[in-house]
Amino acid sequence: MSLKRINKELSDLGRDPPSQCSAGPVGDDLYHWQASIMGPPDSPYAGGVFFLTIHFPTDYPFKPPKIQFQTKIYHPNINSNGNICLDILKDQWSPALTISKVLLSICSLLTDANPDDPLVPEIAHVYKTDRPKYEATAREWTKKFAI
Amino acid sequence: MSSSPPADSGYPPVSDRRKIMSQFRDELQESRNALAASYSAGYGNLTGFKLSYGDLVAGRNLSGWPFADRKDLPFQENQKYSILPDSVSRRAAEVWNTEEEVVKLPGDDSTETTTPPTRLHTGAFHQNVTGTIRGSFHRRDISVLPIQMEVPAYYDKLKEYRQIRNEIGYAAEVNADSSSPFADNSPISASDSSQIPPPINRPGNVTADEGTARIGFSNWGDPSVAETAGDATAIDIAIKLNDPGEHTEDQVIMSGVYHRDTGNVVAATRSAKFAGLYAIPQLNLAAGKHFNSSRELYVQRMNQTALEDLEFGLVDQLLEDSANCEYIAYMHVESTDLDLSDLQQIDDELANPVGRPHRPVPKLKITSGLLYSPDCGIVLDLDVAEGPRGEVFTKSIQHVIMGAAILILAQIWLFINQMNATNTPSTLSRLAFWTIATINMADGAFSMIALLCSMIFKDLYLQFVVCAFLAFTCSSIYEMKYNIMVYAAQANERPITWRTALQGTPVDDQNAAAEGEDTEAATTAAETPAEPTVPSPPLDEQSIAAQLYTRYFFGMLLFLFFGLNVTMWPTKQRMIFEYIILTVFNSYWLPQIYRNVIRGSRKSFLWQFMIGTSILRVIPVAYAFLFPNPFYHHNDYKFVIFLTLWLSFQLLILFLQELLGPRFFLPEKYLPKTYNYHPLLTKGDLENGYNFESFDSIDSDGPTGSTLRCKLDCAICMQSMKIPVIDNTGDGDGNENSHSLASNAINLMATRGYMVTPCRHIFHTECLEGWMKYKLQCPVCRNSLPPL
Repeated sequence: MSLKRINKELSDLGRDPPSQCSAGPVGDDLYHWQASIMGPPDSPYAGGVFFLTIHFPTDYPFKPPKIQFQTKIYHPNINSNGNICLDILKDQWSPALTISKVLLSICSLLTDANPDDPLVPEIAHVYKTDRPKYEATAREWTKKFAI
Repeated sequence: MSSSPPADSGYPPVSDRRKIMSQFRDELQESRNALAASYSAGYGNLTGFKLSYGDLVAGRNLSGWPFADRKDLPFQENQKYSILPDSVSRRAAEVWNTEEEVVKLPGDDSTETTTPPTRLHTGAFHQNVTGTIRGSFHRRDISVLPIQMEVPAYYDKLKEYRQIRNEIGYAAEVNADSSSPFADNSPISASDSSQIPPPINRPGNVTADEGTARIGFSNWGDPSVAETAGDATAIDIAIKLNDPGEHTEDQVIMSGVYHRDTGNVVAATRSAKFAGLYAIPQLNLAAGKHFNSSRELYVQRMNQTALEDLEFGLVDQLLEDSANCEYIAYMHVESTDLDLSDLQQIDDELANPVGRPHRPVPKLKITSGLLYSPDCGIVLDLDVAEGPRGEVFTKSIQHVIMGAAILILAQIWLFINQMNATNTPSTLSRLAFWTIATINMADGAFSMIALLCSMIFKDLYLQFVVCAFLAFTCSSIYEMKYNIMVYAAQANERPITWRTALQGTPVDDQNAAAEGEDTEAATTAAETPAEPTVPSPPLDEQSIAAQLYTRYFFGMLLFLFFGLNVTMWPTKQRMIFEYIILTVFNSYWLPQIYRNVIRGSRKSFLWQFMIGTSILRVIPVAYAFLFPNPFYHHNDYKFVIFLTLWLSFQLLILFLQELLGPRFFLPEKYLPKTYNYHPLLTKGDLENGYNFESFDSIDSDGPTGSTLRCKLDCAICMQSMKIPVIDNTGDGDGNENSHSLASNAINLMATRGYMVTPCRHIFHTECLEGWMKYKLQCPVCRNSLPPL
């Protein structure tokens, strides 16, 4: 069942690709994907291309896929290992969600960070208290790692 | 006597205390002297013994004491000298002479009235009588006058003095009786005040004509002093007397002597107004070896404490005890079938168990006994009473506790198995919260009782604590954890559960109208799946745990206080309470039967768990009600049969629910409708808010033209599905029952392939059932789902 669904998602992505992102399997293993997200233009990540790895569990879509940033990014909800703090990737997962929807959610997370539920408290603190500094750092990191 | 108002709090000032203590020491010194004196010297001036029963009959009071006619005569057991009325002392001698002629009262030369004593057993008498025996008592048909006893005047500085004086009728003076046998003696002081009977509710003032007696013998606690002298063993006796319904309980605490050569016991109470312990030797009814050995023992015992070491608390305690009725007891402990060496072996093994083989431990048995209260004028006969030796009793309780511990371990094992089998929300949601809660409450109550027992029974502290700990682990860790899981699984669906269950199929227009806003919400949510519209935020497990634990501990406390109160109720009420609480605690499958009916689910707990738990929980009740046990629980096989049948009945219903369907015993019309996940959809429904992706792809199927097929995608597997739709656009009510059986039969098969949620989303059956194992939430709109 999971394989059928992943195939279906893959073909849907090919037929109707989302504007900001792309995704596809790495080699022959359909359970292991790579995705890329363009930094949203209205965010300090604009211009950057961020790579992510996606691992599907065998009981997908009942369990959420595991998604990690490969590219280093300065963001309150993404830590240095690339782990993402996003509710729909954890307890709020629903089988009606697709990889394309999840990638879109990550895009919007890049635009609007959620400093009230941070994964990296230091960045969240900067985000809340000194927004220009946060944006500068994020831009700098984007320039350094994602361009 | 100074009549200054007593101090309001605590002890009197130090100067008064010193005065009281010095007078108290003087009195004790005199008492000790009297104790050490010879038999013929009599009681001396022991407090409470100054007036003999004869003096009372003669109408004398203490103002004329000491009486001239008693100076020279040697003491003998006669009411002229003794505190015992002749009728009482004769009865006491009878008790002591049960098995062999031990005492012969001086005035009692005629032996024709009593039958010669016969030995009841061939062996020796018990060498050690520690243990608790139970029997009955009845009021002896002798009327005796109460002897007025006074608390010595030096106690008047203590604040309870006046109160106690009033309680024991101090002010009243004994009414003179001119026809007394000692009328030749000094004139009686004219007393006009008529005798006020002591208040009925005085502790120890037994008013019942018969009842039950519980007599506890214990060795004297101080190991530094020899417990024995000659044939005498010092013992403490606690007697509890209840009327048959246990409306009242009187406790009498005595100390005395057990004569190992004859099995006889004499004991007396002690308080500020009655120095009974110092008269123990004299109370042996005759001079001779029993008097001598008792005197030796008690002189040793009393001289153990130097007068200077006495604390003021003792004075206070003695005054407090003065409110009680004083008692003198005579008992005869039946001989055994064993000889002295066998008994010695048994006692050694019991005192210091190393596993030496020995003969069966003989029971303690009192053939007859007498309780006499001089100041309350009560004579009670103790009838046959028996019970095990203390060590044997302790051991049998140990076995029972071990059994209980094994039962609890088995229960924990069953719970672990059950928890492993049901760890997904949908399996948890089938279980009845109250079934586990009832089991949990019963186990919690048991752990509380065991904890309480560990504090009461010092010898069994460890065993009871282990048992309490196991029961506590079982109830507050395993069962509570499980309860929290069940509660959490069901809290998620709670807001919609009952309404949905009663609502029936979601396509019913009437109900849809009644739930207008819900439908609205569901429809809008369906269009924007990213935004969850959960009706209420689901409780997290932590807050549920806190809530349930609070309830649990509060319930435990309530039960503990209530249970303690119940133990003081009269027998009948207590039994009714016990029957009710046991029946309630053993009705734990009823909530599950109810839940099965409401949810329409067949399976709930594992059968292993259900049968195992039922058996484990009937065993203790059956043990208490059927077998002779150390708790002296009454026998009632009928209740055990009732309880077993009641539990079997519950299990049978659960079994039939699984076999025949959860509602087999209810007529159709009383059934609340459960949610039907497989409704037959109509074209009318499609216009009523279903979100079909490919609404236009409905194609006619079959020649009748009544059945269409609708193609859409399942949101879970994203594969397309075709579902049959009935074309009844003109039919307003959208009820599938209006269709012919023939077309329904074809479509019924097809309906099994898809599921429609209450929020009108359609999935493959296998897809949604797969998801419902994880979460009872609609994948598209996050509304709660009724469990399968």
